[in-house]
Amino acid sequence: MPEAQADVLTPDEVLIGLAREGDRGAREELFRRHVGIAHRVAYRLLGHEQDAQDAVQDALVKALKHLEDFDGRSGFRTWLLRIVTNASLDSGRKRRRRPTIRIDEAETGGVETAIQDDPALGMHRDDLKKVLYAALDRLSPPIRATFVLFAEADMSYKDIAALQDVPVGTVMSRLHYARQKLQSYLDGVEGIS
Amino acid sequence: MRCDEVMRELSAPGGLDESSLAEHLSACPRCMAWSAQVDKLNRVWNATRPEEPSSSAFDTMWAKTEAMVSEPEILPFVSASGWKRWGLALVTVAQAAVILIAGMYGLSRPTPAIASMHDYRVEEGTTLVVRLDGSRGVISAIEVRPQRGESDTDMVAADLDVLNYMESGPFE
Ligand SMILES: [Zn+2]
Repeated sequence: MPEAQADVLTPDEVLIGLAREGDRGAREELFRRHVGIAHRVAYRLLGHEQDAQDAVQDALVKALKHLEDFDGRSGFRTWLLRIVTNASLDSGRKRRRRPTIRIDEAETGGVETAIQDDPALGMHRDDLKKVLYAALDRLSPPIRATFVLFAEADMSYKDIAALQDVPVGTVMSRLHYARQKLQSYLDGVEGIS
Repeated sequence: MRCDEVMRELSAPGGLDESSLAEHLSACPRCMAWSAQVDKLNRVWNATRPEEPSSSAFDTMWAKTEAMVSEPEILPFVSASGWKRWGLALVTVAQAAVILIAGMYGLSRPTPAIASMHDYRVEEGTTLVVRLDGSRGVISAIEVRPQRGESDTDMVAADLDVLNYMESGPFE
C-alpha cells in the first residue's frame, strides 16, 4: 500500500513537529516506532518484565508530554533512550532489594515466549537469564547502562557519550570494565559451555 | 601490539588493524582466552534477548500513555475576558499529582518570573489556576492556596486569588 509505505518513511522529526501541534496519530506513530527498543533497554537495566513496562510507560509519557524539550541535537531515539534509562535507574533505586528474576513466576506481563534455548550454551534459557542478570547486578547503574546501550541498543560510542554526558573515552573504558566483570562472573558459573 | 590493547579492542572495538589482531591472538594464549570469554558473553547475551511484549500489551501501554499525555486538555475549562489566547481553568487537585508547569508563580510576586519546564508535585487539596494551550497542554499554573475544607470562605478566597492573578497581566 503506497500510503502505508509513505507512513513508514515519515522521519521522526516530521512526526515530532506534528505531535507538538497536538496530532494524536503522530504521537502514536512515535510511540509504536520506539516502544520496542525502549522496552528492551529497560528490561536489560531492570531484569524484570513488569518493572520494565512501568519504566517504559513513565518514560514515554514524559517524552511525549515534553516534546518541546527535544532540541534535535541528537536523534529522537537517543533522546528517548536517555529518558528510558533515567526512568529505569529511578525505578531500580526504588526497588533495589527485589530479586531481579523469579524463574517460576507465572505472571509474564503479556510476554510471549518464542525464543528457543541455545543448545550450544548447555543451559536452559531461564537459568542463563538468572546468571546473566545476577552478573549485571554487579555493575553500578551507570556502567550497566553504558553496556546495555551498546550491546542491546547498538548505540555508537558518540551517542552513548552524549546520552550519559561523559567523554567517548569513558564509554569505551566502561565497556571494557563491564566485560571484565561480566565475563569473570560467567567464568565462575558451572554449566555454561 | 600489547595484550591490554588487544583486550580493550575486543571489548570496545576502536579500529585496530584486524590482521595484526588475529596474528597476536594466534600467538597469545592469554588474549585467546579473553577472546573466548568475549564470545561466551555475546552468546549468553543473544540467548537471553528480552522477549517483546505482545501487541495487546503494547496497545494497553499506548492507551495508558495517551490518556496521561492528553490529561491537561480534559481539565475543566473556564473562559475569561482578556484571555482569548489562553484557556484558564480553576482546578482543585483531588490527589497528589505531578503536572507539567512552565512557570511557577509566587502569590506575592507582582511580576511573575517564568521558570523552565519542570514537573512539580502538587499536594492534595491544592487549588490551581491553570493556563491551557489547546495543543500543548498546561503552559503555566499558579497555586492559589491549599484548600483546607469545602467552606464558602475558602472558595471566595480562592476566587480573589484568581482575579489577582488575571489582573497581573499577560506573561512572556
Ligand atoms: Zn596477548
